[in-house]
Amino acid sequence: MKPILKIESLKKYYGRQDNITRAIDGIDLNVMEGEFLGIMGASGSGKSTLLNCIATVIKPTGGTIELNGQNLSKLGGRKLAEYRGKEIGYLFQNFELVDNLTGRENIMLPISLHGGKAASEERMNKLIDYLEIGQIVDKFPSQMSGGEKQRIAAARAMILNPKIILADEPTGALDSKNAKLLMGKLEGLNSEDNATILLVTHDSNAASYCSRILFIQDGKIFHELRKEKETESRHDFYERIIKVMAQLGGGSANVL
Amino acid sequence: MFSKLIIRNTKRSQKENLLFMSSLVISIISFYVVLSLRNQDVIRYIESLESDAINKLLMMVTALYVFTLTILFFLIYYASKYQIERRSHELGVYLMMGMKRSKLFFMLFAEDIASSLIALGIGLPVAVLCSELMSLISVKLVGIGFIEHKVSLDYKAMGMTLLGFLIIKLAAFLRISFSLFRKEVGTLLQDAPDTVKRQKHPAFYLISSLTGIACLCCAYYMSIKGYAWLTVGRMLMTVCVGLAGTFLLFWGLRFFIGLIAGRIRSSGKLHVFTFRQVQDTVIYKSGTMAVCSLLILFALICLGSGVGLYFSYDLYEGHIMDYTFRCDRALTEEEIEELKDKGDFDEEYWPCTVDDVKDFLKEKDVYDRFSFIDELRIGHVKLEEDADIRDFDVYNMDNAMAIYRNYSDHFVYGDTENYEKYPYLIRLSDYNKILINAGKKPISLKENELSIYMDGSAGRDETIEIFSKVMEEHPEVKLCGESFYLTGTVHTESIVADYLLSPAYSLIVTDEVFDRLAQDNYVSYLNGILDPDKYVDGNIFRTFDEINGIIDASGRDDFYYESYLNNMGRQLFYLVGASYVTVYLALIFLVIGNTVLGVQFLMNQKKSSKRYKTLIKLGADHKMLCGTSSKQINWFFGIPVFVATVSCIFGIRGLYTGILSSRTKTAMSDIMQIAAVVILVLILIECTYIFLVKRTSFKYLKSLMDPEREE
Repeated sequence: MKPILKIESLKKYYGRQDNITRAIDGIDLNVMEGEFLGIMGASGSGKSTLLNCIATVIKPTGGTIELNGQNLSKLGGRKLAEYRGKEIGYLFQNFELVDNLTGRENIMLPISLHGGKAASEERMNKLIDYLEIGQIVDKFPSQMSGGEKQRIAAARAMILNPKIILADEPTGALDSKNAKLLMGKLEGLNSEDNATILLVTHDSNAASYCSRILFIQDGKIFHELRKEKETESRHDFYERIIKVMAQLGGGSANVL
Repeated sequence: MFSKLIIRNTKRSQKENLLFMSSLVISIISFYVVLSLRNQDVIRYIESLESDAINKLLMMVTALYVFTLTILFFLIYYASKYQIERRSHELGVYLMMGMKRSKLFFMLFAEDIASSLIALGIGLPVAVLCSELMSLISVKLVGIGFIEHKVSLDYKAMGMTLLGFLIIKLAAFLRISFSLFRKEVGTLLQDAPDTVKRQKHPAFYLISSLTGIACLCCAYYMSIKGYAWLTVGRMLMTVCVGLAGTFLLFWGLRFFIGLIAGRIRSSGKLHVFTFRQVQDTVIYKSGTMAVCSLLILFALICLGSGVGLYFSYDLYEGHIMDYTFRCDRALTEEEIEELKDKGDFDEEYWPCTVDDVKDFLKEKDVYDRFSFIDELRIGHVKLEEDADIRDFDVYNMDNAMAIYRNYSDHFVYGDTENYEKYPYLIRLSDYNKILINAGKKPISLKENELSIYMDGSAGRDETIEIFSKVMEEHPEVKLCGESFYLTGTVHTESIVADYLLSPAYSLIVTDEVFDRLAQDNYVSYLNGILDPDKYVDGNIFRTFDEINGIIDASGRDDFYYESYLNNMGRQLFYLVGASYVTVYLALIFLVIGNTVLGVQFLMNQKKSSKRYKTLIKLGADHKMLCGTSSKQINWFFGIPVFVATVSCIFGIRGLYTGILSSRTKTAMSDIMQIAAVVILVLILIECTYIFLVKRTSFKYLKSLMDPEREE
């Protein structure tokens, strides 16, 4: 497998010389194609900053990010917009659905923004079936439950078949049943559709669906966990995650 | 520190919200322009001729000022409300940081004063300039070289402008502050919460919009067919049907927008989003859109009729006589004796005969300046002394009226009484002299024939047209029991210098019939036409000025005279009064309608900021956001303006069918000219507003992007 996302010496500093906050302080990271990577860490550890750097929402202070061999810092204007729209799919904690668009229209929004109408109908139907949103796709967000909203958001993130899906606390606003349903669907997308997913989460349960987890503390990668694909159950992997989280001193609420 | 904050906030408000500042400046200009009307050159001139009429107009100015005050309050209120709402988060932060509400109130008040002062600093000079420009343009358009332009500053108007502006600004500020300070800090800090308006079944909206369209069509039909103008009740009914139609149409419009939005499968940039936003606006703001559409409609109709009135008045042509002196007929010796016996005779002043006036004019060296001067006799059938007119059937035109009713079941102007009972009589030979001077063929009447004279003033076109058709059939009429036949056509040539002296309806009879029926029951007018070779400096108006001066200086009040200048002054008054007021109201309505639309759109955009933020997170760049916002603005302005324009076409057509019909005598080419002017003004104002709103909207969208993403 080749790395689809390659990050080298990534830094993001805030403030001035005498008062610098090092949100990310030299992260090196490779994400393989088809990998389901989790990033965990306490609040303020830099995990969301890392995600925002990859999403090009913020500019890194130093280092490089390459997606599919393309250096993101060299992108600008139309290419940058195309990258955001076509190369990455974003899944947000609070769904970020446009409330006056139906589910279908929300799913089609990236197409409306970035083009790619060809084969979109077929792709959408496939996603609707897979995510089991056929009953709600023509409803407005106000008529949906949290889980339904997030599945619509997942379909929207996947509609343009992006190289990587960036999921920022996608289960944060869901109850456990819906969180489990969503993570199951993401896991399925990863295994069946070979979707590359980068998940930022506090939730150890959600993280247990990942194949690899990076723990971040003070802007640096502190620890790495890899799931033994064939031999390790999700429950065992979850146990190991909790242990690391306990060492980190964060996420105890989830542990309990 | 605190004062610096106030200054910085004021500067930012100016920079970021052009619409707010423009609204303030527009208000100041509107106030000054209406208040300084007295100082307009044309008004000053008309005042010298028609001081009563001008005083009435200036009394109207006070009413107009109060009306402007009220309507501009809403303009400032909405503009200020938007200004405060867009800063609600910032104000919430101040409170969170421990600023007392009283201090925040003081800060906003100080900012309000500062922005008012800046607006006054810009607005007052612009207002003075606009007023001078209007004065200059009106002088050039209607002043024909004898009204001079004088630069003038109206300090009273300035004071009243300042007062009015500050009153409405303070009222708007207090109203907004009151609702602002009732909000919780958390509410201020939050983005506007998502609200979903409960929707009825789409069939309701479909029925509503179809009913609205039907109502509008009904109002249009009543208007252009003239039914709306028959009675006040029908006029009110037409207006109510039109208003109801507009509101129902806008309320139900969401059905069609929803239908379009649901069917769009375009891959174009954010088409669906754009349409859903438009749909949202129609759902949440259908009332505002309807009101704005009506305001724009009123503006267009005012503008159309104002411009139409201006085009339609023919001030300097179409008159024959330059002067008319009203005299009393020469009395016989016996009559004078009789009056002396009764003690009613005053030798010095009465009676003043045609010859007396002629002598007077000769004495003042004015007589020779006329190329024509002769007597016109207008009288009534002489009845027995002490006879009551109601006991006599002096004139009976039942046959003619029967034919008239074949053509129309109503008179556009006047009532049948005027035509049937006791008409004026004009002596044929006198009338023919006028026709000859007008370059027309004299009339010839047989002993048993009559012709009809009507003055061509407002509202009689249809009546005159129908009477002309009636006369083609030579109906028999009875005058003092004798049979006569109406013949020829209706004559409308002005028989005196001032139409106020002219009878509305008269019969032209042969000299023999006049002498036999009227006997001595007539009034003499001495009509005169000035010799063009003897004009002062070749200018007829300067000649009028000079001769009027000579006559007035003489102190003679035993005869009454009118020059065409008086007639023109009166017409000029109607022209200036009507067009000033209508065009002014038009501009005010247009400004208010557009500002409310603009402010509503921007407030709506702020409320839907979350949606834009989602688009930004999904990779939309500023250009895409501006694209969708631009389309939304076009739709948001376009729908009400389109409905207003369609209604306006029928509205103006209706006005020309009804109340303006004979005044304007409008040819299609004139209507096209008027329409072109109205459309040009509309396009100019709409483009300006759309540009301003887009600019503000784009800036806001940029501000949404800035904290979200570092490009």
